[in-house]
Amino acid sequence: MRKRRVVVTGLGVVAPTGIGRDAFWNAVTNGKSGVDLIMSFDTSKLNSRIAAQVLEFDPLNYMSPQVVKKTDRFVHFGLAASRMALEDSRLDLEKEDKSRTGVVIGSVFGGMLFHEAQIISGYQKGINRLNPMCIPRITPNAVTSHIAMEFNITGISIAIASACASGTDAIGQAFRFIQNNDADVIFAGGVEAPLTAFTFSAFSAMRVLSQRNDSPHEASRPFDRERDGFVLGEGGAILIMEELSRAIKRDARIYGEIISYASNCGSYHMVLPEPDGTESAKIMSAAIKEAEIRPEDVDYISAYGNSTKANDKAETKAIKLVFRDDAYNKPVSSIKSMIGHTIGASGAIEAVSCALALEHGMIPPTINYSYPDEECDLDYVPNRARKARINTILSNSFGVGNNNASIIIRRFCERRRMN
Amino acid sequence: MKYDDAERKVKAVLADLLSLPPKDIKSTSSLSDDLGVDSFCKLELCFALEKTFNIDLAEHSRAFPQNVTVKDLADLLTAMKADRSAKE
Repeated sequence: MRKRRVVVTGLGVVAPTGIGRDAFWNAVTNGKSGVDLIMSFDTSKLNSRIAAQVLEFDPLNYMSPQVVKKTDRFVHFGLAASRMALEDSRLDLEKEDKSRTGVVIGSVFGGMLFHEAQIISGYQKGINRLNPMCIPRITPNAVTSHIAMEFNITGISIAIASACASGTDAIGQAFRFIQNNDADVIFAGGVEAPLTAFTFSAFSAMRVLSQRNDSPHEASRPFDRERDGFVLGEGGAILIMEELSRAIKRDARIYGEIISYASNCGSYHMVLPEPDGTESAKIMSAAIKEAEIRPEDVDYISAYGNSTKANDKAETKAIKLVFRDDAYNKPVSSIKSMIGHTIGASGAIEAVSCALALEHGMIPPTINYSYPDEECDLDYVPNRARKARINTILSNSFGVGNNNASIIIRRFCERRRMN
Repeated sequence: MKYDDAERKVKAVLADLLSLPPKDIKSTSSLSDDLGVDSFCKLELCFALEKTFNIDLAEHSRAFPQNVTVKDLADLLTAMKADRSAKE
């Protein structure tokens, strides 16, 4: 039996460079950096003091004061992005079978702001004085459950924690659920709010963060020779994914079709990427194979590109393994150069960027690309967005613990609609 | 502590806890039926009342019924404060 086809019909995004589809797209195509000094907690003892923060975000614009009060920031991002995506899709949930509508979202840390506050409070006031709603605010599935409750959805509800691949894995798993007829509509994406004193300091302790504190806007510089680590970011993105025939029937705007998904584990190290890129190359190849396309059909690669020495070199090698000499003809860019690394949200925000790249025929740039690195010698779309006719995009996410995930999103083609 | 003072403080604690406008919290409002206080919220309320009134509600689950009104609660707290003053 032919598998069901899955399309993206709504986009919602809360990013450090812009809130909402249009503001976000305007920022990433204009090369705007969302990186700045951290003001919300004291970083004076840390070697990294910068982050990509979501400023001017008011959760009350998207949910009731009661929900704002009983949820953590990562849930705020998820609910806001869901509401925006739902409005964008023009889907009338009242007409939907709620049991066939689901939520699949990547989040690594859950409610760390509240978690840290409760740990401090527990030590100060006694551990018998913890807030009774502590666990429901911290657990990563708080975001899926709150979205389900907000929109009265009763289908699949799953939170995914595969480190920096979580957002892409969530979209991939949602793709599978719809493809396999386990759901018709899914709110899929990723959210993360890791800019808390403890979580940020823990990343700083790993020595993976950029220390370019004197010029925050230039700190995230994937594939550039002078890169010195990633910039931690926060945010969230939700895509409304639905089965093709029903999207056509309701005359939905179709941003693109998810045509494949692959994931694996490099089984090499908990922090370092596998240096020769073999396993990450395998999932790119697996995604291309499942999509029933040829490597040369990929028009643009939305890279994981996190601005660490090790990743960007390994990802470049992996791309060359897959595309061979044609790798030099592929535009490869990383929007992490602008929005930082939003961990569990990154794959989802990048998927929104891919959907909009198809829509607008424009490839967002890798900003801060100034010094070519001989080990990173591909076309990284340096510093300026590029107009291009794009039909097929490969999007990569590689996480801590060598979690690798790739999806392919293709322009929806009327010619293929009845196949 | 006077009753009016206690009621004002109870209303302020509830307004903050429930993110409700103070005008929506009336003396006759039932915590569970009108204000939506569930068993988890009641525990949070107990912590907040202990801090605000500088008292110890000891066994929180039995401190007062969940469907108590704002007036009942203010009465209880006024009495507890008076009892403690008398003992001192």
